[in-house]
Amino acid sequence: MAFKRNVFINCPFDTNYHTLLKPLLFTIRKIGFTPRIALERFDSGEARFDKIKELLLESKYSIHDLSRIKSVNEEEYFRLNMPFELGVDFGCKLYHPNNKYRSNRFLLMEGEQYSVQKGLSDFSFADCKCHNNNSEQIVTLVRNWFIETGILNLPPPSKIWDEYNIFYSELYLRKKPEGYSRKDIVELPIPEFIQFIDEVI
Amino acid sequence: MKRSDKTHIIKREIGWAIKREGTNRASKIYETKEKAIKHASKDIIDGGDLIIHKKDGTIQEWKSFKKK
Repeated sequence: MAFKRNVFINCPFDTNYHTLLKPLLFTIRKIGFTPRIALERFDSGEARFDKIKELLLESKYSIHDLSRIKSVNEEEYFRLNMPFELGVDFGCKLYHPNNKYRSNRFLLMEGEQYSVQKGLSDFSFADCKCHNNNSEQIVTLVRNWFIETGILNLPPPSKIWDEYNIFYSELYLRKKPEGYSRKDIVELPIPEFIQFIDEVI
Repeated sequence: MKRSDKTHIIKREIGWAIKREGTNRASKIYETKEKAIKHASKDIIDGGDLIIHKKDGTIQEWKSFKKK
């Protein structure tokens, strides 16, 4: 049963991406699904790829954000982890001996329109959604994608976005008396953030 | 149900919204954040909190008003 409610998330892990990752996690929980992300637990003894395989195999849905694969600064390498994990996920859908993976659903996201088409033309058949690196738009995009996959009767995007903002004030109210600074709250580690979403929702 | 005494200034694609907690919809959307803050501050006559959000939903400022 959990398989049908799990959403594997393939995205960058740096804190600069948290402005998109956190509303993304909130939206998934808000509409009743479970985000599965390699950051959900930290175990230095566990090989990263083993963890990713496990999460992929436990998830019917997956969201792949390819918005940060391009190098930005001189001498910086391009980032291949995300396209690699997309490929593994796609391979699982096509070739895994268990037929349940044939109906897996993917959401591909990019930060600039048509950028994925330029860098990954083999995937040009896929409908890639552009979030424009905007926190509000990622909420709309993810919520609308769930509707397109047949998950109906969801709250409107603007309501989820407003609730995300209000959720942040709740986070602030509850954590500040415990000694958290505003910076601590904004940089709350992902497992703690997910735990707090569950407490509030 | 008692309405909350918290009012939020929230980024929307088309501007900045004033949203009172506990209500279903934003009361009004302004072109700029400054205008939204100005109007929301005027409306808090019974005391309450004005929570100003950043574009990413995090908190920029939290202002508490006493009953006038």
